[in-house]
Amino acid sequence: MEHVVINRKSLLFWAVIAMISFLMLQARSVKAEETKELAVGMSAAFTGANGELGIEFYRGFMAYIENLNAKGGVDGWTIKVLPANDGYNPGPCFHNTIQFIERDNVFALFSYVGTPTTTRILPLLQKFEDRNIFLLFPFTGAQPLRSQPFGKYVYNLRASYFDETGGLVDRLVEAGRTRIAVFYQSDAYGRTGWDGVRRALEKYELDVVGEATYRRGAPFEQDFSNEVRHLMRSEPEAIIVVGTYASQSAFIRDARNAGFESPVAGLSFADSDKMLEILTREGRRAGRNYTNNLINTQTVPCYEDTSLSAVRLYRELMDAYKGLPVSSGEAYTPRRFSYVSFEGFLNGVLLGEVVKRMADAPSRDRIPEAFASIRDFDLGIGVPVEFGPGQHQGLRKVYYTTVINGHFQAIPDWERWRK
Amino acid sequence: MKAPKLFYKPLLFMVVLFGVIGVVTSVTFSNRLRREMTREYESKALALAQSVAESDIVSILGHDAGTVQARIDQYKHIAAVSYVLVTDEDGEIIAHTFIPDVPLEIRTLVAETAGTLPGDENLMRDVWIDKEFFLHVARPILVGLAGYVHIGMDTAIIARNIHEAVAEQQLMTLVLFGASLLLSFLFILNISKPLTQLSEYAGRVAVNDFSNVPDIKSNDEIGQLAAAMRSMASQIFEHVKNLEDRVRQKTLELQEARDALKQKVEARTGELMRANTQLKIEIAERKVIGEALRKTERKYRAIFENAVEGIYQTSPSGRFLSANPALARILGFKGSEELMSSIYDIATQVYMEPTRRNDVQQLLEKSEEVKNFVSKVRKRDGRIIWISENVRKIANPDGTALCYEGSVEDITLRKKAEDQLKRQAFHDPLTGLPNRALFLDHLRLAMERSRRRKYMFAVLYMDLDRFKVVNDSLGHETGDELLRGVARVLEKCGRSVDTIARFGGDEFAILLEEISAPKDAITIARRILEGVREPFTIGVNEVFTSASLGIVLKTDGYDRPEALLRDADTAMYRAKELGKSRFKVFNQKMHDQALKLMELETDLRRAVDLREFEVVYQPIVCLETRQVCGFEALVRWRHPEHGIIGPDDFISLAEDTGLIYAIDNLVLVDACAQVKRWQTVCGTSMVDRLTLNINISGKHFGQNMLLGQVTRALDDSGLPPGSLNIEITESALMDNPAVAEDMLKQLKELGTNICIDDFGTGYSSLSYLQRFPIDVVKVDRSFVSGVDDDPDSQAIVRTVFSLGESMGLKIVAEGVETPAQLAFLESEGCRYVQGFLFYKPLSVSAVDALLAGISDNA
Repeated sequence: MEHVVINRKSLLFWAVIAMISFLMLQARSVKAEETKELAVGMSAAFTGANGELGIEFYRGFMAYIENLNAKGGVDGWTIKVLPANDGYNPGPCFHNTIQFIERDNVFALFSYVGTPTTTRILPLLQKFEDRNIFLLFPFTGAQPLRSQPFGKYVYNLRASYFDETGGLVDRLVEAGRTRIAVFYQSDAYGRTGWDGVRRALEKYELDVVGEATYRRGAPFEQDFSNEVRHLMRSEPEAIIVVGTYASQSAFIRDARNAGFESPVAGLSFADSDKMLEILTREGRRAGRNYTNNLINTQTVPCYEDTSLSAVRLYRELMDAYKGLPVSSGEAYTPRRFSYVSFEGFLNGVLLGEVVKRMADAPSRDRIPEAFASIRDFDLGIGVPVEFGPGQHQGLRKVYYTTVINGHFQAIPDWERWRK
Repeated sequence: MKAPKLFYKPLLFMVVLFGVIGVVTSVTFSNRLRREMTREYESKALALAQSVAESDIVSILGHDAGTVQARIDQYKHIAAVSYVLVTDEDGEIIAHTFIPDVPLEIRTLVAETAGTLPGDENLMRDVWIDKEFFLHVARPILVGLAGYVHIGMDTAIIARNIHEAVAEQQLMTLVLFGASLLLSFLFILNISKPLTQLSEYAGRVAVNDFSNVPDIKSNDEIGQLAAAMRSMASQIFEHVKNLEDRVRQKTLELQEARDALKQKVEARTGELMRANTQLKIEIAERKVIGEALRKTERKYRAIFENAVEGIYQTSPSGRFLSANPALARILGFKGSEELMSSIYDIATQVYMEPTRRNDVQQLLEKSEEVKNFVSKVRKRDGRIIWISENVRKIANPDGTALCYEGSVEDITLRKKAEDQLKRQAFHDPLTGLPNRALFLDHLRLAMERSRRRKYMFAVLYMDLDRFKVVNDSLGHETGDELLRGVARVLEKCGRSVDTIARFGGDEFAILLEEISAPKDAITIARRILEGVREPFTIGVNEVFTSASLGIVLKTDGYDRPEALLRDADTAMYRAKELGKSRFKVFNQKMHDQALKLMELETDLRRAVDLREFEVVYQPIVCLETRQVCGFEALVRWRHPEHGIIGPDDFISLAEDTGLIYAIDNLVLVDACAQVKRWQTVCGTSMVDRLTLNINISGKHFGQNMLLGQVTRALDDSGLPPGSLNIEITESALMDNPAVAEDMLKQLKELGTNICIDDFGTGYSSLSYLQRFPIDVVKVDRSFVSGVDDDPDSQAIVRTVFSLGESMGLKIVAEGVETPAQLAFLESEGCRYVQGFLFYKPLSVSAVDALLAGISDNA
């Protein structure tokens, strides 16, 4: 049995969404025969502590796909995204996935968000191997999606957490900060991040000096001062946080309040833009600056770097897009640009490319074939996407950012953190 | 519905039973449950561990922490699974579900397990983490080559399950208990209901209610009991009915009897009520009367109690029947009760003389009451007091005494005062000797005794010689002291039976009783004289004195003691006359003289009464004219037997007896009237010159009545006061000069003249001539008669004349008998003479004749 923390309102949501989805799918499945539409299922958190992540991500790819569909689709094939809220919990995500596969007969599973949720559905992919169900570009860098036995059912665009953590550790060690502690979410995501750090440090024959976990779903209001103290006992020179924007900003607040001024580094999953917004607000409220010495890895380049064609397109389309995956039940103001929506945008671009490469007769079983053909593909971000036969990892590039002028931007120089 | 009491015991029993059952089953059930659940959890944990160990070998072998984590995250949601932890073969933790970090206990356990747990065995252990109890199970993966799985089961869930199960169990027990209770209650109610009915019926039978026989039909014991009760009740009913009939009959009879009795009682009650009312009235009356009586009783009781006099009631036998506090106080007892209880014979216990009570009783035989019966009684403390009793006899009709009532007054003080007074009355305060009265009393007694039997006694009368000298020279105190000394001497000389008295002044009297012979009295008299002659030491002075004694030896023949005393006095005077400091026994001659004097006195009294006196007038001649210019009135007593008696023979007696006043007055009145007449006869020529000289006794001169007598005589006669010369002697003036001076002044105010008679015979002091308002001086006849041949007399006469001349006094020479005397007197300037040479005292008729001759001559 799963203990799913869902409030009543979200249950209602759920019901409404399920109903709408059902009705739509009924309609579309009939229509599909005639209108050449490809439906993809997306299970993500649109509510809860990580809710904005899902919404931003959705908006990113929908900006491209709407535009794509509006322009007539890919050789006549339009793409329909079926969003389903799982609240960042594995159980709902599991059910959503089964429904996508069995009821909606989706073309593919697309842009799932979250490690614990996506790792849970991996067995389903194996189960429905004969129906060629693939998970495309999930928003997670977790290792199970990239390794045996389920890595073959997943096509990842973004770099792995191992890549992110490994890079971080390399650079921190290089800056002389060898005492690294980890604060991570107590689940597959967090443990993967931790594992990445551990493995990276192992190379230098170092070990994680301190670690602490937190329960998934912790809001910004949660007090992490105990955890901070626990970590501080190991006298870390830097702390890598493997968490969400809510928990990470809460931890940074408490760590800074406890006097820890050394770098705190986060991963791409933490939605650094949202986190920065929270910390800025909190900083204004508390009358101090929580944004110093923050490092965050990103798996896409900075959306401010308009030298990139993808960035330019992204900014153009985002300004035009006003849609939301669900009706706005919570106080949420869509962000104009963000790393997350940019990554989603890139996902959309790549999805379009995949469809395009089998536009004559798009089918699920041809998906590996299409990916195998994508080699050295220019997504417009300065680095090529490299799939190929048996290759399920599109990008490996990790971008290191810190807060500059109120935005996370590329770190010009690591020397500032040298120890 | 009220629970039958039968139910209480089963209730208690069931409470205990179910309580025990509940506890025992709970304990056993919970123990069994714990065992079972623990076993279940163990197997569950083992199964889970097994599943992890076998399903994820690849991930574990690849140290794929994320995959393993995803896997064990799912286990966390399994009930009772608290934590899951996976390590590699070296004990390095691949994944765990602890937040925020793996506890130290688990780390230790994990480290231990890695090296020690054999390949195909399971480790099972209880672990305490933060006060919570966990069942920890460890399972090797691939015989420990791949690593280990650790699973913690939360035993709190076991405890909660047990708790819930036990609660359920107990609730069941409670429900069962309730159900049983209800069943048993109904069952017992079923039993108790007929029993209650029966017992109620029995209760009704007890009060003779045989109706509503409970209809209980059952074959069990209760049914038998009901049947038995029914038959018993019917029998009782019969009996009761029988009895009731009899009772009713008897009751009826009793009713009748009672009604009759009631009537009687009512009638009787009426009578009694009336009687009662009557009695009440009587009681009320009696109350009123009683109250009045009590008031009276209280009043008299108060009087009785508070009386100052002792009040008593005595029995004839001599006991006090009642006595008031005053009597007790008088007799020295604390209270009436003590008095009454102490005294049982009044005659001997109270009275000093036991016969006194008998005396009273005898007196009371004669009269009803005895007053002021004075007796000496003994107080309780032995002191003797005098009481005065008023006693009354309360007698039976036959006259025998019932009791005596009386009052007692303590008169001891009065008695003492009386004695004192008596003593003062009969004793001389100065010497303590009996006084005249007592002496006379004793003397009277002695005289009576001598009359009754042959009894000889004597009376001595004593006067101190020269006592006046002592008194005057040494003072009265010395005189008194001397008198006391003399008294002691007399007491010493007298015997105890004798009475020695002081009569006042220096006079003493001694009554010598029971003398055997007259010489005894003489002996005593001598002794007295000798004793008195001894010197008395008074203060610093030695005082010598002597006494003269008069003795009466022949005491029979006297009727009055005064007479006897007088004779003693006479004898004493006689002794004094004989030369003092001696005694003189009264003899017959003295007796005769005294007798004679007594006769004279008697005659004199009679003479005053019968006016046997007549006045003769000796003319006073004025030498210038050789004519009568006045008269000296002289009294003569014309005794029926002895003829004419001159004043020398009776004036002293008259003075002694006080007859002198009457005699003087007689002469005064007669003379004044006579001289006035003569003045009238003589006409104008002689009127102013005719004077009257009246002799007033010295004794009379001291009396105030004299002034009145003179005034009256002058008024009655019409004689001009200037014509009257009051003649008095020198001694009369000098005996009491103050009184004399006063008297003279008043006489002078009347207008009379004062004449000194017998000038030169008395005191030689001439100063009184200056002091007193004297008009006339009469030269005593002794000087006049001596002028013939006695140069001294001549000198005196000459001096008197020159004195009178210088002082403006009228000098009268009396007793002029010879021409030679006259010649001398004339030569010396004498202007008035009186004497036989010219005229003898003349009777009235002779004077009438003389005056007629003068008138004729004129």
